[in-house]
Amino acid sequence: METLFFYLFGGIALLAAMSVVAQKKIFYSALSLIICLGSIAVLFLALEAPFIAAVQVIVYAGAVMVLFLFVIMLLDPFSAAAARDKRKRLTFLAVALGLVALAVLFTLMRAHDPATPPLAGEPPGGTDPVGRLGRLLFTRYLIPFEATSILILVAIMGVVVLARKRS
Amino acid sequence: MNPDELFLLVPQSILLGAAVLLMLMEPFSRQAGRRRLRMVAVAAVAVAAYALRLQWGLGPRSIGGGMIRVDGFSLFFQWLFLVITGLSAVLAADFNQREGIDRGEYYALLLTACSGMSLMAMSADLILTFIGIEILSLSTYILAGFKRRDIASGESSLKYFLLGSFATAILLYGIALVYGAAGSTQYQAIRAAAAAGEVPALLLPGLGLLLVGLGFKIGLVPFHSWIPDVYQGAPSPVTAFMSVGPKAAAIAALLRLLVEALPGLAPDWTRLLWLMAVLTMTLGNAAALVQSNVKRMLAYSAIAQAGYILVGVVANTREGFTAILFYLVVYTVMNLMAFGVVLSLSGPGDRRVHLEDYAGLARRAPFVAAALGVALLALAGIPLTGGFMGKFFLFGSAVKAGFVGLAVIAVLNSVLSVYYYFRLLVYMYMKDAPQGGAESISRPVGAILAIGVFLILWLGVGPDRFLALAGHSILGLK
Repeated sequence: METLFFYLFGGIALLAAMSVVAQKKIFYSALSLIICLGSIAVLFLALEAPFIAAVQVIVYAGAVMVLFLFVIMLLDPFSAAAARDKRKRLTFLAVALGLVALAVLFTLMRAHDPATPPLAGEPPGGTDPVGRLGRLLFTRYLIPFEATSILILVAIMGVVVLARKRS
Repeated sequence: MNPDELFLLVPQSILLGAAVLLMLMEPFSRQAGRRRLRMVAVAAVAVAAYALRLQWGLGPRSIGGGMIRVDGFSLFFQWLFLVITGLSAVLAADFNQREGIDRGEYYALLLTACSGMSLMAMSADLILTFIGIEILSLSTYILAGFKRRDIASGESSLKYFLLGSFATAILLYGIALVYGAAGSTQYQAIRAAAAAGEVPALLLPGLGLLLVGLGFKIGLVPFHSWIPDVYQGAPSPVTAFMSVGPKAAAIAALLRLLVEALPGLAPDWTRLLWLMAVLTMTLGNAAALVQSNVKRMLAYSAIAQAGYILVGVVANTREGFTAILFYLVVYTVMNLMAFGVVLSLSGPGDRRVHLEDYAGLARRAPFVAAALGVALLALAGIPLTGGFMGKFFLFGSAVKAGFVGLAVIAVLNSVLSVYYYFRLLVYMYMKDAPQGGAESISRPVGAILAIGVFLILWLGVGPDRFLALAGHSILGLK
């Protein structure tokens, strides 16, 4: 059952991701991306990580995608869709390199024994997955957590700088 | 988190507190009160440097369960980043007033960039390294586009942002693969996973992708294509900062990653970096030969210089790493001097940056020409300058480690680079000025140039003290 779910939604995610790249209209690309992110959320569910799945839906499929769509609407995609990429030679190169990467990944998957990787210790606190995540964030990962707030502060400063009126 | 650990984070807290203070002061500052903003930034850097001095004698410590390392290595780099940030703020003062971008955010972003760089040097965990890189990158993306009305500045920022985001994605992919192989993002755990029996298969592609991500930040060929356009388009003080700060930070992160987490893969990464060092030096120098825009020429020169520094990483010995630290100090001084002159002379709109604009400079401004001359001689690696000593130690360490071929290529490249550095000298000293207006530079920039000349000569004649300091700093790296 689990394996079936994995291949089903993994396949959907892959197809949707390909569609993101292949679509000629940027609006359809964005819609494909929503499907891709949604099926990845299902994969998280199958991994018994319901919280991450919910965050995936709310933050990525929700907030981030709405932002994307807003930008696309504001920038008028229908004129942009006409501008096709004329550099076909580069496309061939990209496909060739993609096939090389695929071959490398395939050999790696064959060589990789999923049983081997040692997991870095049991996270502290109870069986509640959200509680565990919260405790991890505020114990082992406290410093990266705080550093992320600096990152967000910098992003806010960037918006202030780039969006201010001419003085 | 006990008080002892918090004490070790005080320098970073000062920088970030000052950044927030600058944001709060900005709306209340009138045009005349702009000086105060700059003073706050410089004062924060000075206080943070003093706080770091207090940590120097403590010996290696780690915070947050080995997440952050405070040892000689990270203290050295934090100190270097503070110097770079302080000097960048001072160098930018007159330029920013002239160009109308003298705003609090500018200095606040310099300070956040500094703390991002410090995190990169201190971090012993891939997650924190990543966040440090992102703090630094976001700050520099915005700084590059700070002159909003200028189309070149916008282009520079956008190109840097798009390519940088791509590099970040690749870096993240690498981190994911390493995590998959080692089961942890901590450097010590990754090292243990690679040491126990055979190397996990996923670790190699992980290493490759990490090298792509960090190579982009350092500007190694073939991940260098953004550098000329971004350096040329960004406001000159920002270019000065970008050419030294992020480069040194990415090298610090690379060193810690390779030496502390992936020593088990040393044969693989020395081979890869050998190739990248050769390509970076050769391509950077070859492209610099044909540039007529001084900013662009210095951009290609910065690529080539990164190649020289990489020689020390390939050597993979204590001597090599010591030489890297020494050279980074010299590189910082000479590059900031060169860009200090460029940004002082660039005139309204940052436009006068062509070789012809430097014709007859020696007659119009003898001191400025002499200072730029010393910086160029050092960049070319002429004896009696710090640049020569730095290259001598770098290439010497490669020879001792058995990479004679690499050292020969590096020396040949240095000879090649003499051409374009001297061409600028020829313009300054042997051509007649088309229009004879006297150039003037601000007093702080003049003071920095004077100190820079002194430092370059000092490091060139008596490098022992700095070399001992660098050697002592490297002891933390293990």
